[in-house]
Amino acid sequence: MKKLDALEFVFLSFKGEKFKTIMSSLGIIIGVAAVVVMLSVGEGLIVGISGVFGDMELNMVQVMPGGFEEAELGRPMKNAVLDDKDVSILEGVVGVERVMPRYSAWGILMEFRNEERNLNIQAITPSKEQQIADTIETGRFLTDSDRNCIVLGYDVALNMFDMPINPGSHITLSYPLTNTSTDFKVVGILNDSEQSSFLGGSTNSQVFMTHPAMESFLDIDEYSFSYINVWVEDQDKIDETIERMKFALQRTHRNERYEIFDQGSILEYVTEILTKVKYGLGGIGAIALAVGGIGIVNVMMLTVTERIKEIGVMKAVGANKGDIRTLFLIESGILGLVSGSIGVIIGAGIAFFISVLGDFPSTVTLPSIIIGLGFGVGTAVVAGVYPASKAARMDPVEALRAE
Amino acid sequence: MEDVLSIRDVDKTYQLGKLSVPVLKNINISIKHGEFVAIMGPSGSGKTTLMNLIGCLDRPSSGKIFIDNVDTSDLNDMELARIRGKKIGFVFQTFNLIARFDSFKNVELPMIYQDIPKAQRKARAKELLKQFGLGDRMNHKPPELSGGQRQRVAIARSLVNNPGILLADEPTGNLDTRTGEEIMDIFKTLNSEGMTIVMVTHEHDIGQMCHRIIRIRDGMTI
Repeated sequence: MKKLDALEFVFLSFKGEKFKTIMSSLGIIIGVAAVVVMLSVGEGLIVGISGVFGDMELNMVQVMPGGFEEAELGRPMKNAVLDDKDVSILEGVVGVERVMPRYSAWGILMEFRNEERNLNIQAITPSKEQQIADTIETGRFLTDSDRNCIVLGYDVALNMFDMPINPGSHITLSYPLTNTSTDFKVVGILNDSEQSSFLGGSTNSQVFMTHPAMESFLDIDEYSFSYINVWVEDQDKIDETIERMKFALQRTHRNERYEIFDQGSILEYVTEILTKVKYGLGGIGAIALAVGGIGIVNVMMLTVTERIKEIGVMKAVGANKGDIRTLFLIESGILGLVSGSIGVIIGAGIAFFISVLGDFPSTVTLPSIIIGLGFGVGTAVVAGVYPASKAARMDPVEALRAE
Repeated sequence: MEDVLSIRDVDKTYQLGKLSVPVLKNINISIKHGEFVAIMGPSGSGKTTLMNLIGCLDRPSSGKIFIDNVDTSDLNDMELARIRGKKIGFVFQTFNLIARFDSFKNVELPMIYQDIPKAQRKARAKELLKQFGLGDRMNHKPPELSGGQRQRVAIARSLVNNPGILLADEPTGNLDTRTGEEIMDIFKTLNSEGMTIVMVTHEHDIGQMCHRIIRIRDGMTI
């Protein structure tokens, strides 16, 4: 028997038993749709969360005093103090392009025309921060010798206060902890930056001043950097560069705690977790598919039972075991293919809808379609194997006797 | 004339659990080309079992069955299916048409299993259906046909692959007398054209129409 003829028989049987065909395909449709939805949502989560990390500067590394882990026995207790000496050391490390020491001050009050807002302020060395300098929209950027000047992020200048702040305006910053307060002149406003990075953050809500300005504003005895951002020349060699940085810093910070983070490894770590989540979700879809598969086994068994007499007739007029087996396998395979395709379309639609609701990118990827469809056809064919071989093995005399 | 069918020392025993039930005992029959033979006997005598053995639907427990001088008793399933498809035409009491296929498809079916090209199948199925007066019933499904029409479709189906033997198991058993006579006329015509026919029947009148009657009782020819 030619495959094409078997195909024709299969379509005749689908046509003849529309309701049964639809009911049995529903299981696979729902199963495949579930797999596609789960995988796509998982993929969307990955893309969405990676997007939050943004156009992260993947060749940026951050050196920070202290550490995430609790101090263990036998490990240094004292947090490293990062100062200009460390900046020079890091600048000397092979593979390091730029070194940007930063100080972050939290909970600073900024007063402008009798309005007060709570802010975080970054102290920087302007000559080392070309990236920020490039984003000046109005006014000018800071110079290393500036003392009472500040530069504002886009939102701070234009949206935070009732009146927009322009270059030339004066504001007052105060630090509630020490009750100090200083007047500053706004010299520049940065442009609207969408860009955010896990380590850096968008500049929109930031305020910048020089380290000497920060030191005198806060009036603290031992001023040191909160962290040092290091720009690495070659992202591919980031691990080696970090090793060299550690080696260089060891000389002055032998018994002190500090950490070096790179954004890539954090992204990798998060992506790894999300990938597991994605396949976990896919697994839930697979359970739905398995239930659909059991449905197909049931329907195919029922079909075989219903067609015992027909199988007997076919054998009597010359069909061999292979012909009968092929017929039933093609029937369940087509059932899987057609309902799998419908499932993919429905699943893609649902995934798109969820992505709109959840506000993350819709990502019905080719692999999730292939996996969904493959599982659908696979389930249907596997589900058809037992009924098909049962039909093929049937004794023609017995089969003909059946009513 | 050469034997189309030769049955030698055939026994058939069914195994029901531990119990052996002998159904056919030491059967020896020879049928020559062009013969019209009736197998007659009371129900339970083993007529249908004998037909199933001749038709390669079943294998004898011992003995040999030759069809066109080919020993069918030690062929495998594939080869038996091929013999059923090519050398034997079956006509059943209950017609055994496939209800969801129309007359045309039912007649085409045996040719599909012999991998005959579609165009050829179409021509042959049409030719036979027309020959049996079913030219306007080709796209009707069996439930839309009368008993006589159904049996004529079945006869057309049995002939499509030009078999050497036509096996008919009570072909008029489910038909009224007049329709039964019409069907018998078809068999007589086919036989007069050279077809070898073996027919199981318990109706004496019908047996009388055949050249030879083989009587069977308690699994033995008498």
